[in-house]
Amino acid sequence: MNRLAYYIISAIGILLFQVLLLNRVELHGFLSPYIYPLIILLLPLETPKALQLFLAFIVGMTIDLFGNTMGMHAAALVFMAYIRPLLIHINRPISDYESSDEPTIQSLGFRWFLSYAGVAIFVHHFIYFFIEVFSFSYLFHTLIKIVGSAIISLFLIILYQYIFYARKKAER
Amino acid sequence: MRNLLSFIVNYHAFFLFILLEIFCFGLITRFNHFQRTASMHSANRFVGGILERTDAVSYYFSLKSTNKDLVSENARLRRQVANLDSQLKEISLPDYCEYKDDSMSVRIYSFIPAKVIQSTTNKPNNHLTINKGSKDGIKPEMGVISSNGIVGVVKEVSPHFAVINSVLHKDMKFSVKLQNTNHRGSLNWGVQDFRYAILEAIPKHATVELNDTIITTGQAILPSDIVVGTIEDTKILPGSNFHEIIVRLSTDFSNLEHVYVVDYIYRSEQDALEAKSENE
Repeated sequence: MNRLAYYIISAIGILLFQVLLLNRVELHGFLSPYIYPLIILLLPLETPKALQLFLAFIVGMTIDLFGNTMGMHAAALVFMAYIRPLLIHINRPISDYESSDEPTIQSLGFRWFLSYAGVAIFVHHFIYFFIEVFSFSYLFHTLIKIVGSAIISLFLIILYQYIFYARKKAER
Repeated sequence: MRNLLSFIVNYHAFFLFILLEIFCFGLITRFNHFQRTASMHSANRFVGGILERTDAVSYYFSLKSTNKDLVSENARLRRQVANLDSQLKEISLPDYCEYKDDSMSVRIYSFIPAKVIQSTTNKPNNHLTINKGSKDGIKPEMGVISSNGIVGVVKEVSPHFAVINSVLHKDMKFSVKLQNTNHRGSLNWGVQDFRYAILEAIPKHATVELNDTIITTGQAILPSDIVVGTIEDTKILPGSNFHEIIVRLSTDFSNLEHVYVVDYIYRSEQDALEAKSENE
């Protein structure tokens, strides 16, 4: 299967899963997981920075349109996309990346993916939830919300990796 | 120029990032009501804090005029309270103010409420001064009562004041009767005690009992059936045909505050008729 087509289909799938299902989830009244940053996280390692930022903006705006949160998700995701090259750079293997490497558990391993996606998701959630409350008055409450939601989001993202990329591997 | 261009090209991702974030925050504050009010609020809090401080200082300098305003307002309100108070008292007249003569079914007495502003009880002839005068329709020889009983007769009138000869005056005589037997007599102060008066001219054959009520007869200046007092003591002097009755006055002259001046509507007519008959 063409790599681009597969990427687009999975991106649409993640978007639908996010807006149709996860947007309605509120665990314990305030934990809301967001897995859509995965669309940006799964972009090829050598994607141009400008393209990443544009894509992040478009994806974020799409989520915002569905969630009626104009600009909030876009701002958080654009920021995450901006620091993504840095995360990739920091987490590079000793022998540097190979041209066939993809930012997935299957390609670069669980530990690499955890530190890469973990930091990215945490930063994204941090920015998003602080924009949402738009105040430092409920600092502790907001921090709990950020950490709790980030852990659930990360768990779902890793689960997604195992479900879909394992199948992809099997197809090959 | 070339350096600038190369700088922009090298850092194009950063500039794009800044642009997109500014755009996003523009959207956030434009379309999300809460974030908009919150961002305006924090801006206002800064400006508002400065304004509040300057206001506190200028308020201190205007304390004097504020005080003056408050004092004048206080005075105005006090006047209003006093006005309303007196109006209230005029409205709550005692029952007998609705007095009507049965045969005519017409109100023949009207009552003018007034406040006692000066009074004496310890002189041979005692007077009261009230705060209503000829402008309020008070004329000499009008009767004066209080909610407890009779008070006296108007003696002198000025535009805003009137002096009353009270019951405690040696020239004053009132026509009164025993409520039970209708025997008529004449009430005169006589004793030098503001609580008592003497009732004379009750014939010896009339039964007089202690604590009987004395009321007015209703001759001209005072309506009938107004309480005067109760019989405190009675005796018949040797050789006299009349009781000498000591009456405990129902009006307490020592703390009299509000009185009603009685205006007898047909008085001029009655006076004219009586004067005519006397002349003949």
